[in-house]
Amino acid sequence: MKAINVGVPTFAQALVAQGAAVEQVDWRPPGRGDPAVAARLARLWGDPAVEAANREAWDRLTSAEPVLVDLRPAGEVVPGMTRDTILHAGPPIAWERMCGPMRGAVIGALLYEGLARDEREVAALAASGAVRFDPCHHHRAVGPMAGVTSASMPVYVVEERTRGGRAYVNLNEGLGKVLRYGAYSQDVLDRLRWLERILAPPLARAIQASGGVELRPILAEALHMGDEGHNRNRAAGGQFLKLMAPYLAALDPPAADLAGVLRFMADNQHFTLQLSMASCKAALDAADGVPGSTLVTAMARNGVEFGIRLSGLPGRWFTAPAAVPEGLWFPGYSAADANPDVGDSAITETAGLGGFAMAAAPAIVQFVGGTVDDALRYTREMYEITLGENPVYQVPALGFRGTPTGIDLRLVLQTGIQPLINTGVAHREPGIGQIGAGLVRAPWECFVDALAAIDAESRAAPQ
Amino acid sequence: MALAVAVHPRAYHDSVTLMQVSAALAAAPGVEAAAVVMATPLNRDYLRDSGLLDAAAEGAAPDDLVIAVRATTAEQAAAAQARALALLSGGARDTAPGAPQPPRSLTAARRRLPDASLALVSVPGPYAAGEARQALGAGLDVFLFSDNVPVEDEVVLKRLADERGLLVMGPECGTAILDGVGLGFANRVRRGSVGLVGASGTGLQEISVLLHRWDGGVSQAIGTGGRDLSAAVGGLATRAALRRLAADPHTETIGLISKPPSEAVARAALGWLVAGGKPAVACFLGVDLAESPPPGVAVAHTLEETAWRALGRGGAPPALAPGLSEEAAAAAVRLAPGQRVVAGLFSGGTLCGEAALVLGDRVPTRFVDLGEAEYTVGRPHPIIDPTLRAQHLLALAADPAVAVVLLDVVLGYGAHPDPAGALAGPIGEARALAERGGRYLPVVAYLCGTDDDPQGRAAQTATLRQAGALLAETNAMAARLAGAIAGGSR
Repeated sequence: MKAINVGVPTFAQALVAQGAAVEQVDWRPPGRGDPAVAARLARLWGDPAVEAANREAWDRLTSAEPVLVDLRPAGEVVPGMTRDTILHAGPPIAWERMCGPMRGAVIGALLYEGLARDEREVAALAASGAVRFDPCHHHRAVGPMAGVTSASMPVYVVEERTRGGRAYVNLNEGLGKVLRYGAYSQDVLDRLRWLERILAPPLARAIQASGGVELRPILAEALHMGDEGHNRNRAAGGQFLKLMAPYLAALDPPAADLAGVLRFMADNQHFTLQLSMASCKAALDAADGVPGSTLVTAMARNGVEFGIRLSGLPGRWFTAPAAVPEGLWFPGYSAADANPDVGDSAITETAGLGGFAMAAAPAIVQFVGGTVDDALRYTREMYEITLGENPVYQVPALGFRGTPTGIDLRLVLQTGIQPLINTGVAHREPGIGQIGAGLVRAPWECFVDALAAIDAESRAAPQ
Repeated sequence: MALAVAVHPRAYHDSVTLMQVSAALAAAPGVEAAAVVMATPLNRDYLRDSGLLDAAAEGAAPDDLVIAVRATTAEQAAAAQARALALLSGGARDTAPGAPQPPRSLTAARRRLPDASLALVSVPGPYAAGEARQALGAGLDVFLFSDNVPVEDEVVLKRLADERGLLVMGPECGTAILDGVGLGFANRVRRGSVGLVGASGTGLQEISVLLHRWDGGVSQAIGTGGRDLSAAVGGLATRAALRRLAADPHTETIGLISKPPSEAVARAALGWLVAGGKPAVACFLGVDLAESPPPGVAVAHTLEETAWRALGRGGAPPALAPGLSEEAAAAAVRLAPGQRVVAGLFSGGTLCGEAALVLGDRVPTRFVDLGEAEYTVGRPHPIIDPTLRAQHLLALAADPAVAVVLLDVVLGYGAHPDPAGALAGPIGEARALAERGGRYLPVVAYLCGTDDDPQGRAAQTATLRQAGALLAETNAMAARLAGAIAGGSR
């Protein structure tokens, strides 16, 4: 006899005394003790339609094959992109409410696009409604930190080979005073121009010459090498550079500044962050839109609000105020200087990387704080709220278990465990850059609201 | 010689895992050679040289997984293939430092125990249905001990269970025995060929204990919860349980026991018994089925009779054990004229109900079921904690109308570790108290248990005898004994 005991431990003890195998659940009231939440959640358990929907969403998520096929200006490839569209990270937000770093990035982008000549013109332009602001997520794209993407910026084109979708993401500028942290000085604009004119063209040709770069094997190997695909990307960066270098070197006509391009890719510790993000975005978009599924398909922040999206309720955001991450501060800075959580990079956690894969990257604790045991503990905790173990991304330290993948709304609400994200933290003032790194949890209210929406949908649906 | 080669596109596994699986396959019965490798050019050469390559594997890509087996027979090759898949999908063992935390949900627990068959749910009522639904969703039968579960939820749960061929035992189910393992309050009894279905905990306990005592045994004892045979629920769990027993190869005879249900549902239940096609005994305590029972179904009016008939015995169980009628007479003679009432203090609801039925109105009775809700608010059930019963016992001792006290003492898993020991002192005090009031107070006790129970029936019997109690062999007999004492005083 093999049994599971939920409740009074004496039942389990009696079974063990009779030689049965028992797992005792460490139970506490679901919904953190809110009876309305518990009652709605109860209806989602044991529902064959939900189970089937989640199986379908899981299959789509884990069979997705993201392949890097091109690198082109956003205006040419991103659906719905126009000259006066500015994409940003996180859920929708109006110019007036944007946080410091995002405002700075918007200013930088409008200057870069030549739509304005200085800050005042930008402010007038933004406030006038002549510029359209929209989440990257609404255009099959993602962007780290402010995530600001404009028409001239080169974006990776990632094709999801299994179901045929596409995902887009800009190039990583490096660390320090960069656009994604809200800097918009001449240096920043010059670098953006360099990326557009000197780095992107040869890299695009190299990608094309390769016939397409499969991203999952790179990430899988990187996890074996101590990366987690969000805040530790060195191994993936090395692998990608090894892969691309021969194609870059063989280009005919040659790259205008091959040495410069190679040096940039080599020096940029987070060069492949965007590729991680786009892989995850492609896979999660493939799993989106399965009616009845409680799979979380996005976690994203705009520096003011944190939003989640659900496969069974496509197109809808469930938001709550974004928190300031807890962690380690660079010398001279503290939590008082910090901008609240910002960026689409939590898409990596949503697909089983980043904070969820921390046990594969114990060195991350030097970055976000804590001990190596903490890194193991966090990954183990995330197994409690996910649909399964990733078939491709594995953690050597846990006996090559797959990473916890596919956040199930039901399990978050059942256990009270919020998804964990590790993240860089920006200064709240635009243009200063990163001031630390740490851990943050997706807000509880997002999941409670999503549950209420599912419940309302199922009540409204014809029986 | 049979070659079985399977190609799994883009199924990545690390090389250590693959080597371990290959080694496991090589040791499988009949296997001459086996390889589990990614189809890189180097590995394809190796497969070719080892005679493990076929056309499909020839065309495999480097990120495809090849499982190749050469065995004596095709069946052995196929079995080895299946084993490889099971090992690869079995999930890696987490052997890293730091203890893995206990699972935080039933779903997580299920993943750690993939061949679990049952969930026991005893969380507070408002959360119980949700946990039961989660269990059903995970393909588990549910032993639902929790009470305060709304009847609407019970119906939904049992319908969900029906759709999946699963059982919901409860709500408020306190007793079951599945595959020889006791759940909740249950006695350790011999495995045998009688399958039981019951809405009542102590009803199942008594019948299972008597089957054991009379050299029979229990295949399964399935609780249905007290409300199952009501009109609202319509016997859904009873029907599901009877189906299980009908299909169970270890079950030859079926016993169905319940407190008074809805008459319509009772008749339906008899129909389900007949449909099962196995000889059956039905005991609806307190309900006289108007029509004669269908063929193949015997009707019993007591729990002891249910066990008796289930074992195929003719006649009826003995009314009183040898020597007991003399003991009854000896006690009756010592009663004072005012002592007329049989006062029952019970821990088991059905045992209480049966005793009341057995005595009818032949003698005045005053029965208290200390397991009722009013007595258990904020305190453990009397089967676990004898304190309240001891207090009531002393109160009865001071009552000049009481002729005899009748007690059930329930043993088994979940019960107090030494109920006889806990009652011995109060029994002695009560009798002494009555004596100071000029009255002789006999105490009749029935031990519902077996020698195999953790408490040990033999030892418990000795303790009660030493305390001065008169012991009967069945709950019904104990009632008859008490009635003989009280009635014989006239």
